[in-house]
Order: sequence, then C-alpha cells, then structure tokens
Amino acid sequence: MNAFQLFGIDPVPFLDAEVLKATFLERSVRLHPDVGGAETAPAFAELNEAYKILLSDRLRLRHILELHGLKDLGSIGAVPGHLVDLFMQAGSLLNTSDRLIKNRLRAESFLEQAALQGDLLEKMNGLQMLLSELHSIRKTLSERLIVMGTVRADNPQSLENLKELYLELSYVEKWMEQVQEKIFLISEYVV
Amino acid sequence: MSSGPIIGIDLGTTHSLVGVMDAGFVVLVPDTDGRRLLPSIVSWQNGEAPPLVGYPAKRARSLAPERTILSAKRLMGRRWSDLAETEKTMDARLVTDAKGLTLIELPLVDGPKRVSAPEVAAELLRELANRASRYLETQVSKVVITVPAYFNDAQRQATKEAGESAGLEVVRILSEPTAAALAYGMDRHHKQARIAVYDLGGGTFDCSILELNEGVFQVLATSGNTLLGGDDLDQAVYAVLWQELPGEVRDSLHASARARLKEEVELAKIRLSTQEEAEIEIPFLTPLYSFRRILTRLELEDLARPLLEKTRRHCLRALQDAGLRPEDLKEVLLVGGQTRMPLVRSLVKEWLGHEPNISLDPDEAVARGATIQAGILSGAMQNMVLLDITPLSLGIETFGGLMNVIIPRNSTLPTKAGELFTNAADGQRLMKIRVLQGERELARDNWFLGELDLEFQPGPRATARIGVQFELDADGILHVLARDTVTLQEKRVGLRSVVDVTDEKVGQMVSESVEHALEDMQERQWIESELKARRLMELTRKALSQAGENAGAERIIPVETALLQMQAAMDQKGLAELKSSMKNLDEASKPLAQWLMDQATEAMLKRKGVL
Repeated sequence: MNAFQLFGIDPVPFLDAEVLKATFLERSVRLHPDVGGAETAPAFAELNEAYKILLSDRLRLRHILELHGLKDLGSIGAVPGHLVDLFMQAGSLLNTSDRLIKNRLRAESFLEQAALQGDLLEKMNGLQMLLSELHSIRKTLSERLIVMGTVRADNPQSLENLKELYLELSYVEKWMEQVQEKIFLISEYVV
Repeated sequence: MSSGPIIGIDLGTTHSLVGVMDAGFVVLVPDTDGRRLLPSIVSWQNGEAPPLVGYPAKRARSLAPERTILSAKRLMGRRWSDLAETEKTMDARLVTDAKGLTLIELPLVDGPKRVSAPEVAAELLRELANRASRYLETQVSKVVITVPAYFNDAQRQATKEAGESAGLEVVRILSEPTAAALAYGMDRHHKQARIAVYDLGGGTFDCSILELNEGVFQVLATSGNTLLGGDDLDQAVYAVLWQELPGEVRDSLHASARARLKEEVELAKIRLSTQEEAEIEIPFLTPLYSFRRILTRLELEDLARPLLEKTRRHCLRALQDAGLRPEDLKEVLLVGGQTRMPLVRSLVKEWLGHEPNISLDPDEAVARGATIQAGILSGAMQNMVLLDITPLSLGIETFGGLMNVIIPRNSTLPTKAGELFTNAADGQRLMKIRVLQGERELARDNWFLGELDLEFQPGPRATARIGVQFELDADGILHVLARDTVTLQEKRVGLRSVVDVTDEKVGQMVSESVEHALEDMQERQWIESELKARRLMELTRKALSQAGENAGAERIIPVETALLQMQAAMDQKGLAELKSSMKNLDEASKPLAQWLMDQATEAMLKRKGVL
C-alpha cells in the first residue's frame, strides 16, 4: 500500500495534520461500512491504516523509507551517539520508577505507604524534568522535519538524513511514551 | 444499506429500553402501561408457563429469588474461572458447564434448569422487539444493541448470540457512551467539539472522549471497567445494614427477606439523590423482627467515594490516551442512572473541570443513540457517520509468555493488521497461537480470547510462510484469516475457546488443598500473621523515630498505645487478637502517616524552591 497515493498527496516528509484529518473524515462519510455497506469495508480499512501512518511523523518517515526499498526498519539499531547519555539516564529512571510503583502497589499499611512518599515525589520530579527535556528534543526534531518539509526525498543523501531523523524520532517518542506512562501511574499517589 | 426497520436497544444491567425511528424522530417505545424502562429481570416459572420479564419478574423477585435473575449482563461472555468468589454468590445459583462457561441453575419443581446469560438477555430482547413490532405494526427483525465500551470480544459475541437466540439479526454492536454522544450531538451541528462521556450505569463504567466534526462522530479514546456500577453501591449499603442486624435475625434471614432488604436499599439510594435522609422500613423482615433505619446522604456518600475514586483513573487514562487535557474539552456528558447522585456530579466537575451537561436523560440517552445508529444503518439519517474504536489492545502470546500487541487499543474500527508466521522446525505441521486482549505486559494477565491452529505445508525449517490477518469489524468482533503465501490458500480460522482448568479439576484442587490445609492452617496463619506484624512493628518504630517530637502527641500517643497492644497480642499468641490489633494499629497510625506524607511533600517543595 502507498498511503500517500491513497490520499492523493506527494510523498513528502512533512504534512499538515489538519488537512489530513479533513480528508480522512470527508472520505469516511462515504467509505465507512455503515454508510457504504460491506462492499466499502476493505476500502475503509485501507483508508484507516493509511491515515494512521500519515498522521504520525515517525510512521510517515518509515513509510517513505520503505517505499524507497529500505527494509528492516523494525529493529532500529543503535542509539544515536548524542542521545546515549539521555538513554542511560532514562533507562535507569524508568527502571527504578517501575520498582517503586510495584512496592507502592504492595504497601498495605498507612505507614508503609507514607514511607514511600518521599521517593515517589523524588521520582515524579525526575520524570517530569526528563519529560520536558525530551519535549524540547522532540521540538527540534519537528523543526528539522519542517525544514526537510515539502521536498520529496529521492537522492541518497536526503534519504540518509531522513533515516537518521527517523531513528532519533523513534527513540525519543518511545521514551516519551514510557515516561508519560510512569508519570501517569505515580500521579495516583502524588497530587 | 438494508430494507426493513432497524430498532435500537439499550440492554442495561438493571434497565433496558427500545427505540424506533418514526418519521425522522427517535421514539422510545413504552409498554402498554406507558413505561419506557424495562427492568432487566427475568423470572422462570414452574411448569409450562413462559418466563416473566420486566415488572412482573421484579414482583416475583421477593417471592422466588432463586428463580429470578437480575444483572445477568454481568455474566455475559464470562467464564467460570473469570469470576471472583464474591460474584458467585448471587441469589440464583451459579454453576459451570463442560466448556467452562458460567450458567445459572434454577431449582424448578420438574428438576433443575440451566440457563446462560445470553439466554436471559434473549428474553429481554424478545420482549423489547415485540414492543417495537406492535408500535411499528410490522415484524421487526433487525436491531442495534448497545454494550459497555469496555466489553471485550467474548462479551460482544455473547451479546450478539443473545440477539440471535431472540430471533433477531444484530446489525451492530454499539458502545454505550458513543451512543450517548450520538444522542447529544444529533441536534447540535458543531463545527468541531471534543466531549467526554462519563457513563456510570448499574453494573458498568466507561469514560470516552469523542470529537464531533459536522456529522462525523469520532471516538478518540475510552477506558472503563465492566464490573463497576451502581449495583456495587447498593451492595455496600446492604453489607452495612446486614452487619447491624441482630445476630439471630441475620441467621434466620431467608433469601426472599434478603431480596426485600436489597430492594429497599436501592430505593433509599435513589431517594437520597434528592433528599438528605431516607427511611428504610420493612415490617416483619422476619416473623419476629421489623426493620427500620434512617440512611443519610452523608453515609451513602462515604460508601460511594471509594467506588467513584476508581472511575477517576479511567477518566484521566482516557484523556491521556486521547492526548488531551481537561481544558480541551467543550462538554462533559453524564449518562447512566447512577450519575443522578449529586456526589457524582460534583466529583466529575472537580476532575474534569467542567460543569457536567445533564440535559440528556441519563436513563434514555443510550437508547436514543442506539436508535440514531439504527437510522444511519437503514439510510434514514444522511451525512452522519460514527467512527468507533476498540477499547482493548489485541495481541498474541510470544514464546516468553509476553503479550505482543498487534492492534493497539483505541484503533478506529473496522481495522486489520497482519503478522507473518513460519515453521520453527523441519516438517512442523501445526502451530498454535494464543490470542489475547488487554493492556498488561504478561500474557497471562490479559483476557485469553482463544487459540488458533495454523497448518503448515511440511517442509524444511523456516520455509513455510503463513500470513495471519487479524480483523476487528465495526462491532469490535475479531475475525482471523490465514493465508499461505506459498500456496496462496486462504482460510478463515476459528478461535477455540480453551479452558485452562476444567471444573472437575478445580474441584479436585480445592478439596486437595483443603485436606492438607486443615491440619496446618492454624499454624500457618499464625506464622504469616506474626511475620506481617513484626514487619509492621519495625515500620512503625521507624516512623515514630523519624517523626520524633515534631508530629505532636495527638498523632504519636495513639500509635504507641496500639503498638503496645499488638506486642501483648503477639506475646499471648492469640491469632484473632493479633489480627485485630494490627488493624487497630494501622487505623491509629493514619494521622501520623498523613503527617509524614505532608512532610515529604513540603521537603520536595522546599527543594524545588517553591516554599
């Protein structure tokens, strides 16, 4: 499947989410099986999948790379050099947070719960700081994406740049997701 | 899309309703006495007489509680092994069949009769469809049925089955909060609005986030609990009142008297939504005892708070999944009878930051939405469409016992995803794949949907290729298609619902453990309790020394007293005393624990330079 073709747009790295959504909704009104019946169900499922791909920066880049014949992007290889420190920091913070959350879940008595409060606050603080750092990195990645923007990437150099950006995005988004999840879990105990 | 009228049914835990489209308007069809709500109660009778449904069944409840089935929705599509012990103690007797499904056993004079939850639901559906047929003066055969958004594949399947055994074609299984949103958005042509639907019914809870875009209703995220509802509050109140009964009354209380007390509790709860106090009076609860008790709204709210607190997490989860904050919402809708409670309204306002919209009748909104969806499907409603999602992630079990997500939760329906499988050994002919639904990391913590068999053409290792396509249809029901990419053969694969442990085996396991346990139960309980007590003691001493004088005598002294009592209970080796003294100590240390938490918070704020 070529998601770009399905939406009738050029395979460029940056797309406007609002425009995409408008197209998706407008076509849904015709293609959803509730309206078009069973015959349009496969077309809707395709539209649905293509929309999901195009909406996400990460999946869209990956789709472009795949359309250019690059394979094995599922296993995304080594952490980019300048992110290694952050990776170590995130990894240990996520691990210790995980252990702490498990202990808090097990804590039955009020005093046991109180004894963990300081650590929970500490972790929450650390996670929030990490999240805002990740946010700012994510922002610079978005800016790079906008710069690559609306030009089709078809020479080897621009594809290489795209791949690099894709890898960084993959890591940063994954960490953000995990950090957000831990923050969500800890927020049950820390207001 | 299809000819013939389609009706909409809200199949609720405590009440059900039916709606039809009449000249472009939604009409909820009343019974011959003008009542729109049908109590979701079915009472089987001895002899040839058909079961009683609705109000007649409700009246039969206190006369024949063992033949009368309430809240059957809670059992829909659930295996015996999924039920908690407390759920097995309904008035009606629950049993399990050879396949591990849960059945209800009715003690009729001709011998016991076993019915399933879908069979109970079918009686309700038949009654409602007949109502609609009378109103429309034509035989109705197509229906949209609503289910809690958080229902899994098996629960949706069971609902579909119920429709089929009532002789109806179920053209859509629709999520309840989504239906409510349809009812809300129907006459408002918002250019764009994001809304939250807080749906607390008799037996289930859901929170959904939707976006309305000129006729397109897009569900963004949903989170819920299919076993949390107003019934649980009734049960909590009932438990308190039961505890207060004199011992001899408690012991002599028959099932029918218990059913009476439960009914009165429910009525009092409803009154407390508009009154500060409600009197519960039951003359001759037993021949020698009349019951009278005043229940206050404050008392009810204290019991409700822990239940409602659980719903808060779901609201926050749904918002987080939708990538929104409370201020991004335009409106918060309340649906489900339990949201009439003033406390629910004030808590929802506190959590979601919006004065909830109560313009919809919380009992009727879902049925109205189901009817609108029926209108969309029959072509009576133009330029409207609903994009619903799957509430649960779908995945398969990996070799390490982990869950590998194939379709993530909150994916728009219908959707499909593929996975490629190959033979792991030379000549391997068969591969078993376990399919799961849920959000937990470990496969065994998720709901096990069933197993599917993939057949390989025999050949050397890693040469066979079978692509498996998992498709969730618009009802959220799973279909699996296997395609051999070498031979290009395609095959629909059925899921086998495998029960891990049969009933007999469970019985065996239980009796074995009882035999072994009896001898050393006392001993083991003591050892376990003592261990816990020592740990608690150590923890308490540490907390006391950490707090020092600063915490104030009023926080310290009760803890020290309780600690001494626990020490005494430990020395005397009395199990019951030790257990109750541990509970006392925990309760007594609550203020100290709170103080320590405040200290921790203050220290953190100081470090951050806020204080």
